[in-house]
Amino acid sequence: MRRERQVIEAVKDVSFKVEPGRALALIGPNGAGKSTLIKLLCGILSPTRGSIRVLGMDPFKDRSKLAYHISSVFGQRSQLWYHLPPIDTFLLLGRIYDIDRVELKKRMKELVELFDLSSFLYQPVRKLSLGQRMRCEIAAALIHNPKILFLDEPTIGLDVVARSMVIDILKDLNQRKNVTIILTSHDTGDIERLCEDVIVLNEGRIVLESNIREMRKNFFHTKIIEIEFAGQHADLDLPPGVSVIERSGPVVKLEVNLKVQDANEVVSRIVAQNSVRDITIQDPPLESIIQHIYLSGDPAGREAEQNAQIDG
Amino acid sequence: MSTVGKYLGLFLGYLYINAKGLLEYKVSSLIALFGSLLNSAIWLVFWWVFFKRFPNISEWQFVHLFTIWAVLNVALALVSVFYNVYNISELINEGKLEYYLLKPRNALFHLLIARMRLVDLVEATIWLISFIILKPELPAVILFLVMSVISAGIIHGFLLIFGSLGFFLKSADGIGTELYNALITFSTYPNWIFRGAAKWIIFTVIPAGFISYVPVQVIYNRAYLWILGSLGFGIVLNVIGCVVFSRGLKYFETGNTFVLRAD
Repeated sequence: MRRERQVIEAVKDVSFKVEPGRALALIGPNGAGKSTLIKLLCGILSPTRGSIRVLGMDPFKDRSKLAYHISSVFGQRSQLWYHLPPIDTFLLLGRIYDIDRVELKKRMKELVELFDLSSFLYQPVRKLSLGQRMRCEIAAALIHNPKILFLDEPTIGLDVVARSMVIDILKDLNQRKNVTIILTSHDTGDIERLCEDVIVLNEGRIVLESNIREMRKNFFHTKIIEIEFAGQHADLDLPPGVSVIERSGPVVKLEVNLKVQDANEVVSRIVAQNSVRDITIQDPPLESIIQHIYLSGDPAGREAEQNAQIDG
Repeated sequence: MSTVGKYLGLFLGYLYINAKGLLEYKVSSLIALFGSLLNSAIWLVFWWVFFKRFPNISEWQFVHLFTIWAVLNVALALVSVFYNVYNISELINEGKLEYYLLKPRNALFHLLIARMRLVDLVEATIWLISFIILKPELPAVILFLVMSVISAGIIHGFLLIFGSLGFFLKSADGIGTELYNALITFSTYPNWIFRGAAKWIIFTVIPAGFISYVPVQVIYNRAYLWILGSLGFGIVLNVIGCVVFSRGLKYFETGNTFVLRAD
C-alpha cells in the first residue's frame, strides 16, 4: 500500500480590492475557499504564491500589528468564556488589546447599548441563548474599534428575529461607523440586506465579482407577478413566456420570461380582462441567481456580461 | 506601558479569569485535589512500607524518595499555570490556534497562559509544607524551591517540543503522551539504580534524571554545579520548543471544528 500525495489549491488566481467602508459578501458552495480566503486576509494562513495587503500591511508578516485594526467573528467558533459572564471576556479583551481602563469602560458602555446586552451581561455564557451569545460575540469582536470586520457565517443557527437583529446592527456599523465588512454566508437574505458588493467563489476561483444590484439586473430573466382577483376569474388567457407557478383561491402567481414577454404588458392585459383587487411584481429570490451561478461555474461572468449587453 | 508590563498585565488578566473559572466549579476542583492527594498518599505508604523493610538502597532512604515526589508535584503544579502546554498539538490540529493568531500578542505566550489549572497550586503548597516539616532548614527549602522551578521548566520544554511537533506530524499527541508518561514514571521511581544506557536515556531523551536524581543531589549533597546543568538543560529545551513552534506556524493548516471557546 502506498500513500499518494495530492496538492489541493484551496484558493487560486484570486485578485480583488475592497474600498474602505464597503460591505462585501463572499459567497460560494461549501469548499469553495471562502473561509480560506478570510483566513488569508486575517494572516492566519500564509499564501504559497502571490501577495495580500490589508490596510497596507502584509497580513501574515504583520499579523500582530494588523490585529489591532481588524477583527473577526467565526460563527462556528466562540471567543467568549463559556462558564463566565460576557463582561469577563470583555475585560480580558481590554488587556489583550491594550485598551486603557477609561476607554474600555466607555467602549463597553457603547457596545452594551448598541447590542442591548445589559440584561445578560452578568450571566454565564452557557446560560445564554444562541442569539444573545452571538450578539455578545460580535460586541467582543468590536471592543478595540476595528476598521475591518471579517464575519464567517455569523448568523449560522440563529432564528429569524436574532438574525435580523444581528444584521441590522452590522448594517448600522457599516453605514454609520464606516466599518468595512467582509462576510461569508449561505443566507442570501443576510447578504442582500447587508452587502453592496459580492464575490462568488467556486473551487477556489472567483466566478463573479459584482455589485449586488448589478448582479440582480444582469442575471434576472424572469419576474414574478402575484395577482389577487376580486371575484371569480375565468381561465387566464396567458401570452407566450408566461406560466402559472402557484394558485391558491383568488391568488395566482405567474412567472414571466422577460426575454419573451414584457411584464408591464402582461399586467395591463390581465387588468383589462379581469377584476383585480391587488397586484405585485417581484424579482425572483437572489438564491435562485446564486444557484444558477454555482451550477454554471466559470461562464457565469461571461453570461452576466452578455446579459448586460442585451439589456443595454 | 513597556512590553514586559503589557505581558504581565495579560498574565494577570488570565490569572483572574482562570481563578474565577475555578471558583465557578469549587466542588469538582476540590474532589480532583482530594483524589490527587489520595493517590500521592497511597504511593508514599507503599514506599514507606518498602523502606521499613529495606531501609537503605544504594544509600538512598525514604526521605529522598519523599523529596523527589514533592519536587515533581510542585513542578507539575507550576507547569499547570501554563496548562495549554499539554494541549498544543490538539490546539494546532483542531484549528483552535487561530484564536491566538488573531490577537495582537505573541501567539505562543498567549496560548500557554490562557488555561491555568490553579487547583494544582493548592496541592503544591501542601507538598511544600510537607517538605518543610520533613527538613526544616532554610537552605534546603530554598534549594527545594529552586529545583522545583527548574524541573517545571524542563517538563514545560519537553511538552512544548512534542506539542509543537503537531505542526509537522499531524498526530503528535500519541508520541508526546507516551514520552510524557515515561518521563513522569521514571521521575517517580528511584532512578539512581539505573546504570549505563538507561542512565544516559534519563538524562537526554526522557530527562527524568533532572527532575528526580538531580534535586536530591542538590538538596542533600549540595552538588551545586548540577543546578547550572539542569537550568541550562531546561533553557535549551524551551528554546528548541519555541523554535519548533515558530517554524511550525508556517505549516499551520487550520481546521473547521465546531467548538465553543474552551482553550
